[in-house]
Amino acid sequence: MPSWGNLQPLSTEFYTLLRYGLFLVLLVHLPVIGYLIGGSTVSLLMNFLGKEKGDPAFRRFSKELMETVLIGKPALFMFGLIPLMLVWFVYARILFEATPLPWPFWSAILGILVVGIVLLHLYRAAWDRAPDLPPFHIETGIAGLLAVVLAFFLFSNGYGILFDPEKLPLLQKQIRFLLSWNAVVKFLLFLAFFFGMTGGVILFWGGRSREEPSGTDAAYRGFVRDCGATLAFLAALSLPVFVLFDLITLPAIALSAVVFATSAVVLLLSLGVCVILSLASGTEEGGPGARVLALYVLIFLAILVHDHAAVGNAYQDRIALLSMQAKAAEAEPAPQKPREEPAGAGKTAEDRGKAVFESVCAGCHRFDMKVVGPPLGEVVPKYGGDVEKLKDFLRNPGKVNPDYPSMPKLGLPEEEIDAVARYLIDRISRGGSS
Amino acid sequence: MNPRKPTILIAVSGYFGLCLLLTAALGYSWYRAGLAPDQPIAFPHTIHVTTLNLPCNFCHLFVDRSRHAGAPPLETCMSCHRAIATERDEIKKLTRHYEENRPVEWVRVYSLPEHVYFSHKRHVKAGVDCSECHGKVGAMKKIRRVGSLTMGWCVSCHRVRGAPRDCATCHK
Repeated sequence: MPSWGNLQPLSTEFYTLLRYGLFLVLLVHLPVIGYLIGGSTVSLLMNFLGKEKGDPAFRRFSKELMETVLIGKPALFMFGLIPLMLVWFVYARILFEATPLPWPFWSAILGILVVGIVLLHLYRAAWDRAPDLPPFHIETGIAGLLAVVLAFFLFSNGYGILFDPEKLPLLQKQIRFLLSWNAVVKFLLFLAFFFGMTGGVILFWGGRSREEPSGTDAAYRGFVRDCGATLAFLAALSLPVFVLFDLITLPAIALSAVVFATSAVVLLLSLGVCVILSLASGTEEGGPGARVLALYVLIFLAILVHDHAAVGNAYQDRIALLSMQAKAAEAEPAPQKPREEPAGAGKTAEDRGKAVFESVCAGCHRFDMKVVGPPLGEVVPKYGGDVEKLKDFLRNPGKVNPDYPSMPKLGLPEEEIDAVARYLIDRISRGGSS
Repeated sequence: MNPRKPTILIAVSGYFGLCLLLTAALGYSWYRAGLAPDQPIAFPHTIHVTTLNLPCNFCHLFVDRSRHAGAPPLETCMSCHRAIATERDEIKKLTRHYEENRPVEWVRVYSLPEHVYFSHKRHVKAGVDCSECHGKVGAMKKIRRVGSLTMGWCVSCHRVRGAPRDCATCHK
């Protein structure tokens, strides 16, 4: 298995691209997984209630809803499974300093998700095959749902790491640091959104069947819309709690004004959902379905922007460092403003060299003692009188002796470099000391 | 109109209003906490750490010798800045402090409560990298607090590294 964690990201731009990539992948992946979880839960609940109450409307709703949830194998593969692998790749590159989430972790999520989807397919297919539902029908569905929820819970914990880089060194040693309150809150926040979105979809769909678009009975459609409205309303009521707990549990470095603002936007949009549903009567035709669904789409976008901003905050230093390193690597020494008059202008070459030495070098160097840099009496003789070699170093200084900090670029004009290099070599050859 | 509607609307608005207030309060407390306070002199760690490659203990002299890392004495700054970048406003400010023999009152970014005993020396000697607690300081133009400094955070690291977890280790 390739060790993704050892790969260095190519550049700051690549890093930013990865963050936007993650945004897009989640934009596609989460609604699919969300509707899978939300729709299956409602279907199972209705199936169970239908069995208890003996009302055929419940079971019909359960069956028809399940048909919309499993949107077809290619689509589930495209939007449910492939994005998950992309997230793995993005993670490995974003968390380039460590390999905190090994491939078995992502494979486990993928495996559990596939098992869950297969079980839910079996649950759905039973309706088509038998006139009477087989034994353990609901149980199969529940097992499938639990598997999908478990996969999503694990995914949320992996996702949570992105907000808390402080944990990376700990995670490298013990995987249990994956669990965090913030990840649990995020899991619940997304679940609340999933149910709200499912409620919006059900309300929008409103029990219309493909075979008889207008002919279905009004009582059934009213029942379906009521279910959708209740779900959307309750989810909107629960969202603020998770949004607040998310703000409380987010590490301080992930916070910023944008993060708070997007949280407030989620609250206002949820309020909008509640107001629309309180004003409208769920049973009327052409009801608030489209508006509620649109608000849930906006809530989803606000949550993603919120998370995107928080990840950006948490990693801003790492990104800044990358960009500085990239600049340093490509850069010529930054051209400094030439001084109005070169030090020691109009004097003899030796005077000029001495003047440059005193105004520039003497801040850090003496001939016979260590100041910031090493004593020149020790280091200049290493050039063996080679003025050009010393000039090369002065044009492009760096770290030579690990005991000292690296010498900064001086940005001196060529004639000053020449003057001071000659002065230093001269003085050493004369056996000078300060 | 359903007679219960106004009641529901008022209840829902009150609930969301309260949640919005709490969000605002959390935002305000985050803002007040000032994780990246303004400093009397805009000292860029970026230049000193990343560009110049100065080791942390070049300025924080006591980090491996004392409980406190210590802000550098002005002489340390002046040993270079007598000659380097003297035309800059911030360096002029620094020079004035030095000439008037008036220490710079840096605003503290990391502080622990009194009942916590913490020694930089022990942590440096144990091989904990500065960045594990202070983050990528070399990328911070203005220093900001990175570590949460909560007890759970300390204990997690102590557990992972096999450091003592006795109460008296930190609470003398």
